[in-house]
Amino acid sequence: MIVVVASERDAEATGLARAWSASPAVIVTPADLSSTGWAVAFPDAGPTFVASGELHSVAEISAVLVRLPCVAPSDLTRVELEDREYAAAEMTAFLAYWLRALPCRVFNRPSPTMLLGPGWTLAEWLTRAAALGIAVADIAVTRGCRPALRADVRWVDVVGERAFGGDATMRAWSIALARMADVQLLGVGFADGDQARLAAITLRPSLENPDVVLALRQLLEGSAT
Amino acid sequence: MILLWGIDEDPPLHAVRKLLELRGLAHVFIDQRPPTPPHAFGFGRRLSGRIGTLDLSQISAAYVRPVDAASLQEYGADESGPAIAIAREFAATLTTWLELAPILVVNRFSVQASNTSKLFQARTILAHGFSVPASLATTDPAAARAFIQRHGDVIYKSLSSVRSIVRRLGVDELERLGDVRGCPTLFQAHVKGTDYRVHVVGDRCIATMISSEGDDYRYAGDAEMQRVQLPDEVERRCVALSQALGLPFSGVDLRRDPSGTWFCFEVNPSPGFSAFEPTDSIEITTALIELLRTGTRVR
Repeated sequence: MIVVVASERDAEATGLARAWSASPAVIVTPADLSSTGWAVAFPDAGPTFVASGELHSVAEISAVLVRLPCVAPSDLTRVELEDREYAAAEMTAFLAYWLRALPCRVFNRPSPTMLLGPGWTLAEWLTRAAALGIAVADIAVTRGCRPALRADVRWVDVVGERAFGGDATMRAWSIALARMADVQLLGVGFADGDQARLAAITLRPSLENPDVVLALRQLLEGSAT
Repeated sequence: MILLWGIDEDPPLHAVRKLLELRGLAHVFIDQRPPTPPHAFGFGRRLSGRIGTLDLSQISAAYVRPVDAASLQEYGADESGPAIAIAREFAATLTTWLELAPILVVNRFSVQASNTSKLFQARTILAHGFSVPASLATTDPAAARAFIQRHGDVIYKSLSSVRSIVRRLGVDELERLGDVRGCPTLFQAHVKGTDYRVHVVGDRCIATMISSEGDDYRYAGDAEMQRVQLPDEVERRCVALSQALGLPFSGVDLRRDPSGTWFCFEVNPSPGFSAFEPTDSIEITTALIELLRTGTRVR
């Protein structure tokens, strides 16, 4: 069973879970963390979890796709308003442990700062990428003036050891970045100009490209080449 | 030059600042109280930072304990006001600079985050030879009940770093077990024994034994503290654990049960160590300053 951990508002993730449901695949949303049935005995990740309101055994899980950076208070509409902030922190802490403790493939594995992987700011990604020799768009921050994120970028999507989109240099840089960050899923945005420069990053790459979805499926099934 | 960042009323930061002054060691204090200072940072090919007239390339080490600007009344009650927005943006940018700068930072926020999930951190604790109490996180009242029946004496506490009082389950809580359906709740077998807070400073341990009748000595009001020497092996484990978590400075919470087993509950990545300094001692403060003065980048 493939488990997709995502917000109910993540249309790409919910669509993917639906498309793969026969495989089977299930989706775990923050609402499921307010459902009876989760039981996690340290240092294990089980025995049981809840997906779309239904109880499952953790032993059924073969792989997990993580699309949720954290549980946000706004995800918890069924929780009393004054309790949402606390509940969101508790649920995020719970998922961080659960995703780390699962013995199966999990992409990406959570870090202490984010469920999707390293919680680096764009400035951190750019500075770390520059140290790898990747061309980057420098950014300056002064009081009251934060740089706007570039919207006009060409995206390269990394899935495991494969990259999709962009040119050969962009793809090589993107794979190098993913390795440096120890993640298998990464979206890397390059601003075009005389020379492409790294300008945007996401740990939740787009699932619009069928080739990306196929590669993702192979990665989750452990059959990626 | 050593950078301090936070508010001067914070006892640990205040203690470090005073001792730096007394020793005549070069330092600069970035006060979080308004106004937010003018600043300019650069990221990408070249990492740079300037706060007021201070060029951050002069900084060799940093001790940081910032608070959220919204908790400071000088910023006003409006959490969405521009002063708080600017203060938060400055904090986020300085935090990023501290993540990247090739200096000793006590402690970087990315490594402090290991404590945002107690069970996440507990995996590293277990790997370093300490025992962790039997633990269950659940939204299932029946599973919680079975755990309580198996272990008898059970406490519950937060899973995250949100501060909560550790409480033993009583009759009231047993009647409210159905509440766990709303959010995963952490239950742990209660461990009898004596508490120790071990401050790891670089490769050195400063241990305090705490005697208290309360389930959580921080709130019991009867805590008596005494400096003690830990067995070498326990000290070695504390240092290795702190290093594995990337923490040059930490507060390790231990309990030794009557059989001599050492349990570790958590590693505090930004310990409020002042409460553990006896009135006639500045041992932890001194060790921390020595670390800041001589320490090299840890990571």
